[in-house]
Amino acid sequence: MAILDCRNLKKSYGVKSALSNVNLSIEPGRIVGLLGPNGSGKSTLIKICTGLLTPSSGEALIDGMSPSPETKAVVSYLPENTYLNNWMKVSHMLSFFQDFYADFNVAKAKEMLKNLSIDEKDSLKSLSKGTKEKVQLILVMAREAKLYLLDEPIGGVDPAARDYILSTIIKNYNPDASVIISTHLIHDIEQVLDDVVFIKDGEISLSSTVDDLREKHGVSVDAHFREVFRC
Amino acid sequence: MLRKLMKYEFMATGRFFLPLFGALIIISAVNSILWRIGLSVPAGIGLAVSVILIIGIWVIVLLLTIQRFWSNLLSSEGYLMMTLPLGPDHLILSKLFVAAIWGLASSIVVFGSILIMAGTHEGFINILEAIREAFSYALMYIPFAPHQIALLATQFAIATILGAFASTLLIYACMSLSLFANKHRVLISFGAYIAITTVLQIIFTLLIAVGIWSGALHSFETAVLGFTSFGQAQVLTWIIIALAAIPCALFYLITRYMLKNRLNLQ
Repeated sequence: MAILDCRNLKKSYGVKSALSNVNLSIEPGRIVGLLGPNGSGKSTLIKICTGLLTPSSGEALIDGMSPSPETKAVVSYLPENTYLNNWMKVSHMLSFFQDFYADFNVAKAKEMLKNLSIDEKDSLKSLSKGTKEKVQLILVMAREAKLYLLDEPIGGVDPAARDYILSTIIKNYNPDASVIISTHLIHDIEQVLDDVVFIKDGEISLSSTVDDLREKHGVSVDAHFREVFRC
Repeated sequence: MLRKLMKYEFMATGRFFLPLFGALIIISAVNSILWRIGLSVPAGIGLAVSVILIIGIWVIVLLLTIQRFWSNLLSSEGYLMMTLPLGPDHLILSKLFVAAIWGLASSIVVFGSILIMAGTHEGFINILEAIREAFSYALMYIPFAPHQIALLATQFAIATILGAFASTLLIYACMSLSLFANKHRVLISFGAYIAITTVLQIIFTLLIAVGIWSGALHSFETAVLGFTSFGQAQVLTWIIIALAAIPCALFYLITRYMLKNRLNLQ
């Protein structure tokens, strides 16, 4: 069964349409790039899958269920902006995740913090924007979830950390789990992707495996993206 | 899960309340000493500071009730809270209970600080004594058995708690109703507050007017007058409990529906 199944998904804000008729099925064990320019509907699609947005029509099923406490227990979500409480310490966030997520692997999180030289005792207020993003990504990737929804995970961090984060994603996810990464920085993540989904003006314009796409068009995903979304 | 949520809620709010409570108690104690040694000018300043702190505590109770729900559930922190594997009941109740506990704690601390400041003042002791006498006098003449008085007191306590819950849940309901809109959500929350309180008052007035006009209230009164005096007190307390419980349930269900079915965090 597909881990994520979107059926005729539509979302509009007032008269403005953000997603129209999205049909998408993601199988377990895939790393999927959700690629599109700014404002194409990537975040909207991800937020519907997390339950943060209610679709105008259609449905998004995670493991066969609509977003609910049961699906939230198996979805690990990284939002595009930070949700960390400034008054907390990094260690508070570790206990917070441990308290609420049964699949949170605290030892793994601590190891990743150590590798990125982030002190658990630091208060979140004192951390730079990039470091906060790293902390958030570590918390999200230290869960042993079935579906990871990563909204622009590498947007705000430096290239060196970007490499570490990508290798973290590859290393840390369970082979039966799927990862959906939304980004427009395709070049950086192309090597880790199994599948790509192009999204344009709220519609899926392409859904393919990376190998098929390269074979069919004879270019990299990045080059094909530049062609498709040429301004 | 409720217990864990409440733990973090206490952590987030305690850092505002505990220093305020501490400051109020210390200033009250200093004040009391200043009065006793006869330094009335500094004591007058101290009194003014205490009054400001007491008002400040109540302002913080209200502001944090609003802020914790708004920023923790409906703004950026909502990305974390609303994706936890928990239903809306846990989230609403944890906020409600913690707000209520801080409200109660604030009442106790404010009362305590007044006792500390005025505890040795003769006039104040006389007032307390008079209240105590009035109560014992009233108890002698109330034709109820002790267990009946205990029951009535419990019922009044329940009504008071429900009333406090209703006013907090009204604030939550108004904020969550703003999820219907994409813009101007703060304005819409205030609008919802004014609209709901006005509509409820109109309904209440209409119900009473219809009751009087149709004679239903009169026949109800006649029927109740036939009860024993304890029965009459019971009818009255149950009406008070219902008047608090119905809006409580209504506001809770609105908030729950909006968080469960209409969440839109953009």
